[in-house]
Amino acid sequence: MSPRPERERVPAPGAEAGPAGDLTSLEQVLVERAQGGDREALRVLLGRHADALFARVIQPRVGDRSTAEDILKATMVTAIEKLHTFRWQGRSVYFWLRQIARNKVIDHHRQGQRRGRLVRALSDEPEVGLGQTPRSGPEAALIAEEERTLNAARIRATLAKLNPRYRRAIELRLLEELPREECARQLEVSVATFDVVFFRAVNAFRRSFGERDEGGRGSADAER
Amino acid sequence: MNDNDKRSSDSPEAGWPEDEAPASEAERLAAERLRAALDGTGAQPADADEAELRAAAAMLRAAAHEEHLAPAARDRLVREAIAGATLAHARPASRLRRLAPALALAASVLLLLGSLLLVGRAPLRDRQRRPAPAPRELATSRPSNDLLGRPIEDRERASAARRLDLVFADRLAGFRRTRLLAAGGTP
Repeated sequence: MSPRPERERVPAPGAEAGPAGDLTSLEQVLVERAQGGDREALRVLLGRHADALFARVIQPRVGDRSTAEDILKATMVTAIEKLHTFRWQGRSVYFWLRQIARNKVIDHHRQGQRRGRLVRALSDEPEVGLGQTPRSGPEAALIAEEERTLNAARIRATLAKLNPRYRRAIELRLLEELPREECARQLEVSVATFDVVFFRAVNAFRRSFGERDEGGRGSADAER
Repeated sequence: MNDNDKRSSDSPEAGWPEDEAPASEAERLAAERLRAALDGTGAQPADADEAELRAAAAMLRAAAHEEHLAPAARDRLVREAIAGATLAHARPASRLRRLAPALALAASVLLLLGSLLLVGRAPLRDRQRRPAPAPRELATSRPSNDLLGRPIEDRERASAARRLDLVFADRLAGFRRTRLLAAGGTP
């Protein structure tokens, strides 16, 4: 996660002194102060998790940066308006923010009338971080990293189900971000042919993403 | 056709894999739209299916290239979110606060009007509580021309004061007579 400005490391006034690095205690204090109307505490609390929500939860599921920023802002607005309903249960508020962000992403796709497999796959994503010890270390950072790993695993598992040409087309064009001409050269086809092959590859990925295997588990679970 | 010819030719048929089904014209057009969308030059998706296709491509690209928020962008978004959420909650109250002075003024005016009406009606109510039965000959208003001898045309101040005195004296005499009669006396 990106480094935090120095001012955010100063505990809020009146915060109880906890063990060194006990960021969960600090976060609890921030939540309580924010619920009491302390705008500075609210700013610090949201600033702590904004980047992780953007980079690990929203952007990978939306793609477009501008749209991801809009969804992040909408997430924070909802969180502020519903903060009075949040009850501290010994785990980071990141989980709660993450759920709001996920719902916003799904709403975004539904508003675009995308009700196919992609939306269902996003809706069926498993919860992360349930096995984390609530009061240990930089909890949110670990959860965000697990989020990224899980998402990458789901994509790898889906790519593995595609035929080798389609998988390679996606890897070259989207993962390695090579120009079309180079992608066509590596696949030994014309550029126009590559465009069609790539189109078919993304279609195949979209249809396959989130499919459950014969054992009833999702593709991500199979990868684990 | 050798490999160089395949790669150098840009026609869709050039280097077409044998195990791939032929591409239809619609498919080629869709492939071109996807290419344009990824390059940032495409139009809006034609339908939900195309929108989902573009979303899948965007997700794949984003998953491989994690993007973070710059601190300035992060702070801006947080600030805008706080302002937006607070504004949404305060809007009803602030509207009330804006209308409060106008409402107070309106209430004051209404109270004042009401007070004036009450004050104005009090003497009338008093008169209604103490009706004096007026003799029939004095119950209706009558012109003062017979007192003054001519229609009033003179607008001079001195003449007006004299005429007022005459009329007042006549009416006062009539009032005394009316009250005495009402009390059972004789004028």
